[in-house]
Amino acid sequence: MTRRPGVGRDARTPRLRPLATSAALAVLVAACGEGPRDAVTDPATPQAADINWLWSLSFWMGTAVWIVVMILLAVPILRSRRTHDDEPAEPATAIVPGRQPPGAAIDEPMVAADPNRHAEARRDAKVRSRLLWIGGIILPVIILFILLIADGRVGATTAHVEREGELVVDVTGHMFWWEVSYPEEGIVTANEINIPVDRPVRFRLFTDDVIHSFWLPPLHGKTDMIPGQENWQSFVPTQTGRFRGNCAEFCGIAHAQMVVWVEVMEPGDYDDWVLANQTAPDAPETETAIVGERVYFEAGCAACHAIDGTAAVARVGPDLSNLATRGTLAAGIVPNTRDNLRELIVDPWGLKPGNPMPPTIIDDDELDALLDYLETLQ
Amino acid sequence: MSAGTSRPTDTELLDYVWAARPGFVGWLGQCNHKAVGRRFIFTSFFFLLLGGAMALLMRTQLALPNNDVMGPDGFNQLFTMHGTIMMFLFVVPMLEGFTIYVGPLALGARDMPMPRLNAFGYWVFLFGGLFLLSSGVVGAVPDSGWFAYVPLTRAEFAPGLNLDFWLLGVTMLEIAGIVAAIEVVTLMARFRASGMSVSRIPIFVWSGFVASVMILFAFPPLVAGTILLELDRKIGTVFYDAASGGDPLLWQHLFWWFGHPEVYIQLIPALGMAAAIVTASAQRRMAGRTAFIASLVAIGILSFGLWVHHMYATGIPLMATSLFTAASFMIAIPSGVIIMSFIGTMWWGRLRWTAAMYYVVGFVIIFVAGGITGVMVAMVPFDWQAHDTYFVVAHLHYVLVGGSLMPILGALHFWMPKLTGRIMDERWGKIAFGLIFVGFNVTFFPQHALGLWGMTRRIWTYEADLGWNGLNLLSTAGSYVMGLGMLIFTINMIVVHLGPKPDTPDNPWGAESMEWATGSPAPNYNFRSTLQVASPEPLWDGESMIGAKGGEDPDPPAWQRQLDRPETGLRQALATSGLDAKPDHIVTLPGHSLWPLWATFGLGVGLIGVLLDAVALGVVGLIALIVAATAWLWPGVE
Repeated sequence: MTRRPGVGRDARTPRLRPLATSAALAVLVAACGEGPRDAVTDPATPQAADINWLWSLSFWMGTAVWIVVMILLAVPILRSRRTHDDEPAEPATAIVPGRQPPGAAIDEPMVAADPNRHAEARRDAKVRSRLLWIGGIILPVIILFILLIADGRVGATTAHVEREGELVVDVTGHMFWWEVSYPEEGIVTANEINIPVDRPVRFRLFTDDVIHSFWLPPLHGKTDMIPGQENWQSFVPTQTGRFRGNCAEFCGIAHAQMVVWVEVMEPGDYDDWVLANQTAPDAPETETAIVGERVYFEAGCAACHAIDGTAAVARVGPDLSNLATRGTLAAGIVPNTRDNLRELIVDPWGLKPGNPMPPTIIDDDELDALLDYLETLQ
Repeated sequence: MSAGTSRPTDTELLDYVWAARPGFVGWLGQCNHKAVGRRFIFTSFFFLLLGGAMALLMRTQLALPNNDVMGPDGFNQLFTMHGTIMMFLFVVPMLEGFTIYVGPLALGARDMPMPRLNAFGYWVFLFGGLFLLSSGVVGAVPDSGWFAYVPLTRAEFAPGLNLDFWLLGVTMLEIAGIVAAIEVVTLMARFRASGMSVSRIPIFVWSGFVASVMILFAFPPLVAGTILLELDRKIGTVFYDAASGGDPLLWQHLFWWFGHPEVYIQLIPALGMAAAIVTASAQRRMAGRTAFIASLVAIGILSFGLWVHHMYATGIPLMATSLFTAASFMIAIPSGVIIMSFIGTMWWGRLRWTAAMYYVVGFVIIFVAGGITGVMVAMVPFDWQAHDTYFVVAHLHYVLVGGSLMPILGALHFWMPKLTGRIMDERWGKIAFGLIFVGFNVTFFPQHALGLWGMTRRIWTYEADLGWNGLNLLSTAGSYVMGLGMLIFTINMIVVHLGPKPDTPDNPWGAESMEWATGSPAPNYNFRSTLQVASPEPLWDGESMIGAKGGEDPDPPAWQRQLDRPETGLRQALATSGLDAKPDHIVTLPGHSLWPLWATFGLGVGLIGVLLDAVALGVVGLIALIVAATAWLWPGVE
């Protein structure tokens, strides 16, 4: 089933979409008994749907071309099997001396080693030239033109542009996490991006160090983050859901573990989220959390991580003002649980080898107090 | 020379003049194209096995989610070295090796036009390869990918020696490539047999020529790019530093200006190999021979207009990238002509099923699929999705394994009698083909799906709940099957070389081009007499070739007698005119020489000086290089 550009889809059905878009993938899905979590073939925006349509079109045309070529290839293979069973073996050498004067054969359409087959060779020449012209030039040109037109149409609908009423989100790539800021709303967070459904969004993409690439397969294609350059990515999310993306340009040792999550929310939920994040987290109230806040500064956390409303303003690592509300830790790779947070603090390389965060050396009581404090940040 | 009482025969005299010196030093100092070609072929085969073993290690790590066979350090080093080895140390030198070995034989020449430069090319290649591998000894293996994107590779983010090893090693390999390309271009222009006009040059030599011209245009930009990056790293220039007004995209442009033609440099000679195998197996001239050659040339030219299709995601405006979509589509047309040409030849020939022919069929099946996915990723919006995912990993392996590895393995079967005088076992060859073909498809076909399901490239681990587990396991299983096939191929190749040399026929496949008109393996002097050719398929057109075994011409001119009976003891060869190959003049070629090796040592010492920031060592190396090059070029010095 193929779909025209611009036709979105109502509900997210992760296990059905690949089956519908491509038969070959369906076989593999069935063979392995699992479906992908976030797939190009499972679009959640009109832009990604258009690209998926382009993929489907080229997949079916490409499959047809491949099958035709394989049939053309199968003919001589099957024929040679048939005719060779009853033929004597070829002589060890095909030199046929004294047949014709030097040079006579140069402009012949085809030369065969066996002089008895010369007449046949000439007859074949006509069919052969048809094969080259039709199969090698005319059909490819027609197919390529169709694809070029489709490509141009989809290119026009998926280009990264400013749209009316758009939400602007700045994303800056760091080794190895994503800094996210909402300039209009005045919110800074990391690794998890919340956007409202049905409102155009435009990401302005920057990098603080090396080249990274921002990619959420069901939402749109990838866009690189390049030093000294501002790149855009824009789309209109039409389905709510939680989408996972991985840094797509190799950026160093922890490249594999640089994950970003995008949560597309109902507009009301989004407004609540904005309000909650525009206010600084409440000061800690329990005794251990108050101790934890002190540990936060003494143990050196504040040297890199900012928290709104406190003296911690450094922006070397991710902003932690809403840490407790995030679903994941260490740039989206593990769930945000107390145990994972504990491991991340004392042994950052255990979860994520190459993590630039140094291990924090503190005793267990201080660690528990620090965790209590961090769990109040929302 | 035994000139005295008993006069040596022509053959004895030729053999004496063209043979290597006795002993180890003589073996080391050989400059003849056959020695150099064989060295290229077997050294690069070793690198193929090495790069393949690295791939198996990577697949082992990726077999399961959250696997811990290795960490990110090891994985990053492996994929960097796998790509670098396969590109620079396997495919290109392998194809050059075949062109250097088979080229002069197929053209009826006695040697390459500049034998010492030829030997120098091999030594630089060998030294560059060892230099890259030596990074493992000092624990500074390059780990930033074979594409080495800045700024990740600037000193700021890659402070160790890792990248210096890569940049200097690759520069040496590029020099080796350029040297071989100069040789091949000169060879085809001036060293053809008398009468072999441009229209009669064998397709394989044409393909080597086209690839060599491409190397001359494609490699220098990368040499420039790597030198600029090395300057950034060593003396603090800012060519690629955005903060100081440089541009990181400059590297990508320079790299892909090289990198995209490089893909076709790896493809075109392999197409020529496949054409030679098909012609011999079908016992027919290549269907649409002229169109085939024209398509090779067209691909060679068009391939320089595509480089931006590696950079669609960098924010280059859509209008500009669309141009490169159209250019990329255009290359599908000559490729289509070439595939139809293969099929047409098979269709109207009488096929004999040698192991080499199996590899050609495998090449068509796999390469067509890779070409189709190539058209897909040339479309800008789809490439935004597919770029840097396993879809592209699958695509590039379909193109390169289909378009390069398959023909190369076929060519090893096909030309092994001419290389060493041994015929590889056909049955084991077919078994190996079956395992490689099936293993390859099981490995790489699922990767298309993985890419579309969001699996990005160059990741050493993945979480268990992403839906990628089954296909990754399947892919790993396939890679082991392919590895087993390569192992059988290698054992087959080794086993046939054990034991005494069999009496191998000159032309075991009944092929048409002139390398099959002389002994297996080719004797030191290549051909008994000066050849004259009047057909593109000289061995099939009985009288269209004279001189292969000597004596056909009853009254040869004096210059020809001089070439056929080198009383002077000099290695002399015939240079012919460019288009119609009329005899032009006689060239005296140098023989044994160790100076290319000393020049390589000089170059190597100099680069180690650069590597270690040891200025004195660098200067010593430079002086040694100049001295060695002077001695090498000095008339009369060996």
